[in-house]
Amino acid sequence: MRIKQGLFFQGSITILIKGKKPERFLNELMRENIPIWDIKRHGENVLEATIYFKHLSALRKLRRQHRFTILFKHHYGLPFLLGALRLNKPVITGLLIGLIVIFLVSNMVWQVKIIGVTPEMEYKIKNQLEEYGLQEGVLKFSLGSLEYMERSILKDVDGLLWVGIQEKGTTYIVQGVEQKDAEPKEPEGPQHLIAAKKGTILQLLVESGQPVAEVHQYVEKGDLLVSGLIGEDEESKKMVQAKGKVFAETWYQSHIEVPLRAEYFTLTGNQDQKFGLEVGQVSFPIWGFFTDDQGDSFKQVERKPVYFLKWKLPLTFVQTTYFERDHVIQNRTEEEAVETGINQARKQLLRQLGHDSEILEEKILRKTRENGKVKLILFFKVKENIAKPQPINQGE
Amino acid sequence: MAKWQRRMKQWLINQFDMPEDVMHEFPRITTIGQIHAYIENHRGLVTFSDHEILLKMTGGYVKVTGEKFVLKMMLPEEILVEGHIHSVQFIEK
Repeated sequence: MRIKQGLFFQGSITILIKGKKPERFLNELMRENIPIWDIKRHGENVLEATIYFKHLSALRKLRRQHRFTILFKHHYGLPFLLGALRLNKPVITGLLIGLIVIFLVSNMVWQVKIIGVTPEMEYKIKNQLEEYGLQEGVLKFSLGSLEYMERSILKDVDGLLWVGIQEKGTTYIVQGVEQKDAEPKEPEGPQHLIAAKKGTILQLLVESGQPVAEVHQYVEKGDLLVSGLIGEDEESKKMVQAKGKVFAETWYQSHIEVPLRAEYFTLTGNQDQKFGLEVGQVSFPIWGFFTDDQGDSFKQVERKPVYFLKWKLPLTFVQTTYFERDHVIQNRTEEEAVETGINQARKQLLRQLGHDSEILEEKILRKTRENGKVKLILFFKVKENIAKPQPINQGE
Repeated sequence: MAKWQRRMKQWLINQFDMPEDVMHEFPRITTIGQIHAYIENHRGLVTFSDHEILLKMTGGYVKVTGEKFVLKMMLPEEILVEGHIHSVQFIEK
């Protein structure tokens, strides 16, 4: 019955109408377009009926025009409950607004503290963080992941060595470590230069000291290259700090395996975001109901707890990002596989060598093919600095 | 004048094949078994007790008798009676 819909919120009153021919009063109410229900006869001159709470004033007005006694028998619904609590609309509105404000304020960033850095760096970090959305006054939900911020700030701000962002309630503590140009430590004492590994010397660049080895000479690991003892005869001999670079040809072998069939994923850059609230196991979407499920995607879920004052609510704000990705299957021919293998080995080797080294020559020593893989044994000829300082023991 | 109007209505009903209760202000009474009686197009409640209900309508009255009557709903033009219905009677003036 449509009358009963929302009855609890509207509230209803059951009244007793006393007087001669109480039906007449019902007709009057009807004429005023007041719905009445659950009408029962209680006796010759008594009728029971129920009306909406909102029609009470209209009923009172009507009663004045007739000689009926109206008794209130029973009431039901929210308006009466609120009345019992002495709460009226303004108070409730105020309370609700208050709750909402406290809720927002509990989930806001109040302070971003940057510690451990110089003022200039602090300013730079602050600006950069603002660009990422971390600043005073924003809601915590709108923040991206802290790890991501930590990572990108190192990239975006020069001269930072490490940044840690910590969330403490409504305060974010950003701790930074600045890069200080480490002054090269010059060992004070006299030293020789010896070979760090075996090789054939190609070039000798000596700043100070007496060269012992010669160009084209083959040296073993530990052989003396530049002596720190200079002077012709015994009397004029003196100890210096031998300095310089000795470039030699050295040899490396690397083993590498390259599969003929490679499978990997690449992100296309298209992304889609969804927001939701999670209560226990159940989650409700807030924003982004429709996502194209077409194509392959990589899902990243971020959860943020929701606070009320200092208490964590059993609610979690969930941000889901879908990154579209391509599944790439690459079939290589043997030649392509070899090429990839060589490039890979080259890169690896260069990473492990010093910055002033170069690869002179490369050779495939062995190439086998098994289980859909190409196995390579490669040989590299490298030009690198093999000089290593060795202090001269002065106790002698 | 009233007569002319009635004839006009009758003509319209015949021409357009309309339900009679729409044009004439006839009551429409629907009963569901013996438990409910739904009365539309009434002109007011005359008497109501737990065993009898008398409704005014154009050109007469409708009387419903039975037991344990409760008016489940009362709106300007419709009434829903609940109880155990024995009879529905038309009383002409």
